[in-house]
Amino acid sequence: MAAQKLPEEQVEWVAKLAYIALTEEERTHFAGELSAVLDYVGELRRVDTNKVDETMQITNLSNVMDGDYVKKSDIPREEFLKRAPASEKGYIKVKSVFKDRG
Amino acid sequence: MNISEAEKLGIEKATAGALKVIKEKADLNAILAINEKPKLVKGGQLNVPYICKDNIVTLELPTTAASKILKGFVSPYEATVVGRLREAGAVMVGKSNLDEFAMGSSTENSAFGTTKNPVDPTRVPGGSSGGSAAAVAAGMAPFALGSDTGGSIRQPAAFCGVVGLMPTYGRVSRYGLIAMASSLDRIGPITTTVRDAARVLQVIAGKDEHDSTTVDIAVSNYLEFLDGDIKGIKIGVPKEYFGEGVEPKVAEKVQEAIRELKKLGAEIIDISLPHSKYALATYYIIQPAEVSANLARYDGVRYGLSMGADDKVEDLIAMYRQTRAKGFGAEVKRRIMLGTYTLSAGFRDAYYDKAQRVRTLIKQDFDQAFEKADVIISPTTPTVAFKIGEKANDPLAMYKADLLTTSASLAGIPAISIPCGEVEGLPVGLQIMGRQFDEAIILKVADAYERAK
Repeated sequence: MAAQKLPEEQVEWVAKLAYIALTEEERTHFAGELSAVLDYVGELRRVDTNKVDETMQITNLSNVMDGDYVKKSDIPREEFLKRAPASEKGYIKVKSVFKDRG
Repeated sequence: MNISEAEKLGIEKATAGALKVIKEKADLNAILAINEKPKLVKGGQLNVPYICKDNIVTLELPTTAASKILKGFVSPYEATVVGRLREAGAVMVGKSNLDEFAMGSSTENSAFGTTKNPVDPTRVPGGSSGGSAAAVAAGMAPFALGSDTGGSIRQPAAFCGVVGLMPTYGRVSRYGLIAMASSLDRIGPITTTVRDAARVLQVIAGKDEHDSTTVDIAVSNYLEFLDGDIKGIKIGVPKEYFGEGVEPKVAEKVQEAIRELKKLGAEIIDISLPHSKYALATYYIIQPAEVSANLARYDGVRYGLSMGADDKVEDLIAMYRQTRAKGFGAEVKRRIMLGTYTLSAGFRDAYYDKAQRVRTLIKQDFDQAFEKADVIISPTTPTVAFKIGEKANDPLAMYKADLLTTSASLAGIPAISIPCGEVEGLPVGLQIMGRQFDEAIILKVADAYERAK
């Protein structure tokens, strides 16, 4: 069964969801590579899985909770600000989230 | 050099010696950052120098995950395992190279150049913990930390001729391990002897309140299980691991080792793990899916590479897209996209959901096998170390290096790789797998084999 090549629009759509800008060359290149891998992993459709559930957790742990309490951060604010690409007045600075309207 | 030899030298000489070898063998490109003046303490159960894989966060040195997106990043906190090792007297002398974000089986995906195999520098050391395995094999330190998601401790250990232990999922805290696939990632030691792997595990294992996936099961005294005999221990040999896809000479070396174990008194039992052939596909659906979620955080907002200040970047979304385009290598992009695709609406049931069910079947195979056998043995890898560049242009061929290691990863069980000879001068690894939280028995069998050799 030959790999059906993923259409480039689909690669572009996936890249958009993943927030990665691709060049045209990358789009073509990845289309071929992703198709080959999807073709290989698609073999799993042959496996009869009707009698089993998904493995959500391999060690049978459930509801491992922490107490609901307030404590001081292990890492002081300055350490975060030092590492931020941009910061101002004690906040991390980012490009505007909401676009101007009107 | 093993841990006990380093201990005899004393921490100052051992550390100075480690730094000397690291510099002498710089051409292997195993080490990304060196701690030139580490803080030395005297005493502790592991008072020796060691090397830490660069996807484990440390305070003293940067943590890059071998990626441009984290170049120069210094973590504001350290991993639990690093803290435990420090308390035991261990001294971190360097951070080792890896495939970017632990994605790869050769260390060729590092943004800072590949590492060379010390046994044959024209060949890969394996991956993703290639730097750690090469460092130990080259004598840079008596032990290194690696991480294993689909084979990344065991396979490079096999390729470099050293010991690599992947503990049970939940045995060792992942707090401070840069997450790749959260249901699969594990931290473990790479050493020159089985005893040393046991000694390191002793220090790093145990429940951690910072990692809710660590299990509250007592840490055995692993050393107690060494130096014994293995009479009557049942060793399962799964036929699926010796056939198609495995180089005959590699399979034969492992069969030799099995005969050796029989001479030592173990009982050899033929078993079958019928869903083995689906393990690689199952892994390459589940892991990239989890990767796509875990790597969403690298967006240029809070740390690392950011295109935010670039005037050509118009808005927030463009900033995300450009930062990730520039900061991630090809393999990382491939896996994020693969994961995004298989988790997306319309495809999730067919891929991710399906893979999670096949994972259950794979686990059941092991549960059934462990009713008959105490441990399960196989070659660690289908081939010996391949040449640098040989598989670099064929992602699928590269993924197949994990053929024999991914089942144990999916089943959550522990596994160790130990050297068992050579094929044409290149090391072959023997993989010993055990039940969940039964590191003691795999160490016992591995140790018995190592002493007999």
